[in-house]
Amino acid sequence: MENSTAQPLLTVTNLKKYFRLKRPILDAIARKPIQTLKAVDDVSFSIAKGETLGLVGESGCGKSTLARTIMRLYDPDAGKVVLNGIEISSLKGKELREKRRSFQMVFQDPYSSLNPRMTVRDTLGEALKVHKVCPPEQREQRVLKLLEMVGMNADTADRYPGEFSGGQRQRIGIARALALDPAFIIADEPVSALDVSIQAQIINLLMDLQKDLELTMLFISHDLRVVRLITHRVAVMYLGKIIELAPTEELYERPYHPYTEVLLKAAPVLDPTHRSREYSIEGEPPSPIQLPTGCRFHPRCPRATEECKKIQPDFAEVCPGHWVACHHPIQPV
Amino acid sequence: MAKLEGMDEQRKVVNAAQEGGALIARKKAPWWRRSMTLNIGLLIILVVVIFALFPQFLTSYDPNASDTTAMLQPPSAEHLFGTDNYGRDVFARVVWGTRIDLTIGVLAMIVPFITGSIIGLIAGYYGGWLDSVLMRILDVVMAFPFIILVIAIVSIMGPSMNNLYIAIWLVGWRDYARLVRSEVMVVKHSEYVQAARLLGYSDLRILIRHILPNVFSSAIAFASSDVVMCMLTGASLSFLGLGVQPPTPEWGALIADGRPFISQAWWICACPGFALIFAGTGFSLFGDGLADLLRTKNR
Amino acid sequence: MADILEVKNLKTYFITKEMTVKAVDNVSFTIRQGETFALVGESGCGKSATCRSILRLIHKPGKIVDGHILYKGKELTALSQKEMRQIRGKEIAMIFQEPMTALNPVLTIGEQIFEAFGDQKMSKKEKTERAIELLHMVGIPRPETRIKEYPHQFSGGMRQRAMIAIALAAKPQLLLADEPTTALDVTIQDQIINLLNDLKAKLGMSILLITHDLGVVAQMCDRVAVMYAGHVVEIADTLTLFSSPRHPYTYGLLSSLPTGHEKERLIPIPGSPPDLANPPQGCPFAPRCRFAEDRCREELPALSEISPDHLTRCHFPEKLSEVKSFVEGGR
Repeated sequence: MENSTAQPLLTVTNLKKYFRLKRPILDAIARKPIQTLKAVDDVSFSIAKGETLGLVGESGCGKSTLARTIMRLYDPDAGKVVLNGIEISSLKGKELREKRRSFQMVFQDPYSSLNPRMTVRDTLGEALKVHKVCPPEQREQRVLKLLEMVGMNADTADRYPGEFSGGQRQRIGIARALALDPAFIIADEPVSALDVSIQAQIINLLMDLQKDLELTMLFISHDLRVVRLITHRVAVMYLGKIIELAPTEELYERPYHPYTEVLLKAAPVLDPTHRSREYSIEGEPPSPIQLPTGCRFHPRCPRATEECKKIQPDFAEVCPGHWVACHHPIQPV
Repeated sequence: MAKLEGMDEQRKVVNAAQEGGALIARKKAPWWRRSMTLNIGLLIILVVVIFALFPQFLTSYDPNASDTTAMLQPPSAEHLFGTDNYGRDVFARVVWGTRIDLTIGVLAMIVPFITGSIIGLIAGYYGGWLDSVLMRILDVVMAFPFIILVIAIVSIMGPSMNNLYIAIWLVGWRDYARLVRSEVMVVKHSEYVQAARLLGYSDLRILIRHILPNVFSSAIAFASSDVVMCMLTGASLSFLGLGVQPPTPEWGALIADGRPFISQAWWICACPGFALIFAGTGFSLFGDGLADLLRTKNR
Repeated sequence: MADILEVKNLKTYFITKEMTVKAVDNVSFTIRQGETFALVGESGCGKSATCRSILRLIHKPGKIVDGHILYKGKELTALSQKEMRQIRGKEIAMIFQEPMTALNPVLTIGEQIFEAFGDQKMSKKEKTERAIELLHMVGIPRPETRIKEYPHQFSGGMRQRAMIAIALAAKPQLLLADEPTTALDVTIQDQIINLLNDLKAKLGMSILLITHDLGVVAQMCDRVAVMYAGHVVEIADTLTLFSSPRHPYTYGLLSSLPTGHEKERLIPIPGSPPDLANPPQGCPFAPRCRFAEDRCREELPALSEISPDHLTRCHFPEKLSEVKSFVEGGR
């Protein structure tokens, strides 16, 4: 993909989101410091127009927090998010509300992401009304157009979410995210709550929209096979940091970071003749509250050395477009 | 929108055929078939409302007309619920009292229902120091039993109908505020509220269009049961001489009037008492049934 | 190999005033001694209800309406609740998807293992030693200290291991595993799959695995039954199922998964699963099946053997004989 060299549409620079945890009263008396959870810790990347960046990692690695911080559902603690030349990370109040139409999100759980008391028509029409996207008399037509675009029949417009299956709800969720014609969307695990046979339908829909609307998208998933299918580049996150970022095929074929390799190997292979018998990785991710020193992956890493325990590796470009944060990458640099 | 026009015709058809067409067909029984509790409650409430609206058609006696020739008469065909110590027809007094008790129940409920729900909405949605302040006030009000606090307030302000209302209004909001707040706390984290924020809607729009309809059902169900509580409070205070003043026929006051004669003429106390139980049961059943119905509807 | 469990024509219905949901409808399969057998299907296909029926853990309004469950030849459906308790935990144990809800939060892991020993005659010291041995066996580091800890002090993967240790405490012959890896991350899922494979080999027990993930099936199972809308639609050994599926639903599931190589549109199964309260006439898969003919919409096909040990519930299994194998499809 040549996209990485094009002018970026979205740039995230040194973004941080920490959560201060509530301190039990006894700890406060004992003057123990307030603990912070570094959910997103100094994350930088950019996405070119028309590009889909995949974001993968295990639960608790901060990928959902990153999405919500970019979307301004959380206020960032530091760093910048610039979309189309506008710094959305510092917008406030009415200005932020108006600019929100240019960045939207598809949520994970189709059962909780739609207001159960609003019909499909109201859900989609409300956004058009609030942002005065089109004259009121054209609104109806546009709602139907959106439904058609996500593969829903026009006669479903007056139904409530409770009458739809998970896949259909997710289609409506996608239509809502696209209603305002956003420049950039985030899809946060859009298929992981769906049944296998429905997942493929939604992935196809996203791939079609990606092509037809030239969507710029951040696609978050833990399913590496789906990510490979739909993305141009992939970022791997571990404990609040991006540890590797590369064009999709390159990352899958030639991972540099040991953690990326582990992730790729851990997904169960759909082939009963290839069964892995050895443990691919020991242990579990440590608590994001008490982060390991040095490289955050070192306690689980088979290649860890003294250096890894002490010094945090830099996020460096090892070959054009391929960034990795590791002292001892798997491939020769 | 121009971009959408370019979408491959054939694929659109395929997509539509794939899933969009088929709705989950689940036949639901109509609401009146689903909850017997609700139906019985509704029936009782209907009877009570008819009593309150048309007392003149149900009894020919004047509730305040005394008849010295017929004092303390037991129930008979002529006097359905007997007569009291002034020879007034107890049935007429109970029937005419319905309007007063129902008014107390509904009016005393409605103001706390609205104020409490608004307080709960704001506290739950905004959180932070505002929530802390409101909740500490709530804790103080919660610390006292409802009826004691109402009696105390009426005693200070002096016995009258208006003061009775004010006292209940000052105390009654607490239950609604707590109920609505706890539901808002859940709903505000749901993805559809986040989606609404993301679409750039104002807080007011989010509160009214997206949160309120989804937290309101339990408050409404509680309100219909709360009517009972308010009626009982009104009757209790009137019984104690702090609410409705004689000779106005109010059930609590009627019971108080009959108290000295309970050993000779039980019907003076018992009949308004039964009326209270009857109406109370109706509203409780209705409230329970409604809660069930709204719960299943949410699914 | 002898059969350890035989389920014959099992019907478990959920009956309410308004509707009857046939969650498990005429399900038959056998699990052989020492094998891992999978029940695969999407949510609501009846795989969990089948699993719970085996342990007679079906609560109202659910009911086992008909059928036989034979454990080592013993009819479980005829046992009293008291006799059933002798089977549960001791002969047949179960592990769940969400260990946090299955473990008792106010008892230490050690106490919960002791409890699972039941009335085996053992001194406190023996019990402790055996519990430590169990925790060690499921790969929990420092078992001597962890035995005194509570479930909330365990991470997700460790909790799942602890639950497996508890399930194994009474040395069950058959382990029912209901989506044991679904709530876990891939790296942890991988560990648990390997652990279950190792334990099965070491202890010689049989496993009934309930899952929706065909990848897990490929990695763990000897034989598979695919369920759809309350019916078993296909039974085969894992390799046969992946190389020559003979039911269009199985084929659809396999082909809807991304292979990881080609950047092509996927081939989904159109439509969505039927409402079990209102199932279609004939074959339940017919409305979504691209091979369906009139006969499929009228008559439910029987589960019939098309080659040794390969059964399918389809009128036209031969229509699938040309399709590609999925064994080379995986990476």
